[in-house]
Amino acid sequence: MMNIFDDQRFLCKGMILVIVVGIAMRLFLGWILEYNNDITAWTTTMANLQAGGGLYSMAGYYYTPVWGYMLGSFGEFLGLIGVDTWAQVFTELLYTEDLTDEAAVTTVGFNMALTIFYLVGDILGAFAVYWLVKRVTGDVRRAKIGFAIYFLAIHLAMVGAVWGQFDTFSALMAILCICLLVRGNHFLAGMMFSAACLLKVFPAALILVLIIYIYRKGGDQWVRQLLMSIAGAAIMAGMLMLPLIMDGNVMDSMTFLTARAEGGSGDMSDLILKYSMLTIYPILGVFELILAWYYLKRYRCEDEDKGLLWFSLLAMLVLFLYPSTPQYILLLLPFVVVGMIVFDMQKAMAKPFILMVVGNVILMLTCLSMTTVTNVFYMGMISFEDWQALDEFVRESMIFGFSISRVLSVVGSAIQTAGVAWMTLVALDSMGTFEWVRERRQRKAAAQQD
Amino acid sequence: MKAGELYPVIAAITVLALVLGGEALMVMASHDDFSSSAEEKDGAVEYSIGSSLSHEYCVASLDETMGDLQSMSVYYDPSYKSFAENGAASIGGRALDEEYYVQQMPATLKMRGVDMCQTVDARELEGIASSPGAGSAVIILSGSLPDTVYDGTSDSLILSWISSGGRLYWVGGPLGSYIAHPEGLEEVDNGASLFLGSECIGPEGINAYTEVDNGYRDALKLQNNHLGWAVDSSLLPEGTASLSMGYCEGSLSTITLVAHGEGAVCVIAGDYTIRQRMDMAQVVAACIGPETVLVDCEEGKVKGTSTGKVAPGDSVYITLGGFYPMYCERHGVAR
Repeated sequence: MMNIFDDQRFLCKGMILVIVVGIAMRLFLGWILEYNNDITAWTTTMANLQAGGGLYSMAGYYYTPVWGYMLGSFGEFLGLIGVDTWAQVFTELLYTEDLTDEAAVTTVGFNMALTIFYLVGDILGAFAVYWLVKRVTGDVRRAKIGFAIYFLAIHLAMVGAVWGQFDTFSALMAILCICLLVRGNHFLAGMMFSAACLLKVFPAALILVLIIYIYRKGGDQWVRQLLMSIAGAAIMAGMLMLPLIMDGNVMDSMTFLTARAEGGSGDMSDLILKYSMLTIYPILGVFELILAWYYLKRYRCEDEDKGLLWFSLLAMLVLFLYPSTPQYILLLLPFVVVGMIVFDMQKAMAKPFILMVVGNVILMLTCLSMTTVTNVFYMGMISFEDWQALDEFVRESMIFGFSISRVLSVVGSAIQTAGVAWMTLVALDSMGTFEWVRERRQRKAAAQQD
Repeated sequence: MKAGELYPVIAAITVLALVLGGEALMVMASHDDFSSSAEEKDGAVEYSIGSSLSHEYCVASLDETMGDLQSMSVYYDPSYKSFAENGAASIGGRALDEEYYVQQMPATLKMRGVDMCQTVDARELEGIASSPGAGSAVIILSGSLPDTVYDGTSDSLILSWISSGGRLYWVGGPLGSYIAHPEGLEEVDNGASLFLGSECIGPEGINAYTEVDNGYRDALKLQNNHLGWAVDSSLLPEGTASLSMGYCEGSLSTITLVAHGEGAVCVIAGDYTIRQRMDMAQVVAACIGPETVLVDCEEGKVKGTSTGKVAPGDSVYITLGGFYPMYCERHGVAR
């Protein structure tokens, strides 16, 4: 299979096959399945935007503004291509709202348009991976392999095409920031970093690594380069937040973060979630600081670009040691793929990477019945009675006293996190972090022989 | 320099254009991006809808509506106790409390062509209730009325205001059951009877799973199915003009309008939710009353300009965007 990438042209047979398969996979998944929960919040947001109500004057949008602005563009796209009906509320599904699901179902046209929108993010991200691997290694074949692994990652396709989540853009913006820094475009990198953090907060975990990279590589230009990055970030943040500042909605744009820190229904599972986040994230923060210290003070390398990729990978792995939802962990994907290819760790990382992907897919199956509602109400491939039977089976069947949904959620999360933890151990081991363990074992073995 | 080397720059500019382009669209968007009109011609009402983007629309022809709105007020006074409890917030969302609900009403109504919405406190509400009610509407979200307009008796200012043509839209608690004082709430026995003629308020915390079969749910794209403190129309006094719509469970409906003198009381059931707010706004903006008749309803799609005809009533109410409206407008029809 690797021979099909040996052609030096970008659009060789192998790449055409990868692109066609990746696009076909997404279009098929987006057509046949769509989880109707969050994306009916996107429809509310787009309606409020087109009405002139902005993002926060009416409830329905709870994120920081960048995704809202992108929804503005997406709404325009929908209107231009003729998708006139976005979603409908079905009376037959009202009972599912008592179980925290959603009676509104997006149309096939909407789902396909959204899939195409996310496909743009996926393909731009795959190109970014290709560019970065080629830039750092000079090896076109390895770059193509990186493109293929990223673009054909099933969970990347499913998060966009099935779950309707926008985290592909978070991953894209973060990896583009890295590309721009490697290229020396500090101002634009700062703008991209700002946009990435105002889309999803997770890329902020990279900040120390990025600053240290600028310091290490910049030589006597590092102050100017850092100031350029900061200027880009500040200007971008200003442009993005300006309408909110003028309307007095800045705090409304942060509720996604503040509400998660404070909120919850007060029942046991919410309390466990809340307190585990409040406990574990600070610990992970300490790990990030230790990582940054090591990068700044102890790390020796000849190629600073590779050092950036290495520590970006570690920073992202540490961040996702806390069990994550299927969509958040997409941010890790470009860093893992680039890291695997650039540092020749495909063999060492393959199994944990697959484990992470499997866990991620299992997590997305927890909402299996709700992902088929478009099929039921617009395509008629499944009758409502059959769907209801499936939905009841998923909700009411118990395994050791737990619902199937809960079991899949716990199992998927455990497998996904195990994959991330394993990759972290592999990465740390390759740095010699556990060398002292091996030496101790060898000394013990030698002592026993004696 | 090869194009491939510029890829990160090109991609970054593309992404930032997508973001900033969307921001620009948001800033420029307004109610005036859409247009509509309606006039009677040759025994039918001809309507016209304009939209540069492709959207679905619904045109409802209504008769016996309550006439044009002259004033629109939302009561909110934090110095008075309120019965209503906060609605559930979506995960990561701002808590839907009374203040937030009130803050959203002007924008919610403005996109439906009602741009005169003001927030009034207890004293200002007293001023409104002291004036003739015709053409005037008040939204109560607190589930209780302040003592400046309601004393639990039939002599209350708010009741005479409704009788003179006022429209009261009620959310957040059992109608008429609580007088709000600054220091607390005072319970009223048989409060609903003062407004509706009988004790006909249902329990809290139940939901509906059936549509009221009169066409309004589709005509106005109604979505709220919560029945807490809904009106039980089977318990209304005989001969009382009333109209139920939305979703129902037996004789409890999510929206019920009941005549009171020349005016009307409209109870929108359930806890605070986005859908409840949207449904209430539809009923308010369409000026629907207890005797309103849905004469005709037509659905279609528009990109550019779309025209059509419906059977005539005294007004048409146009909804653009289906269950996710971005433009609504009421047009009175001269006959």
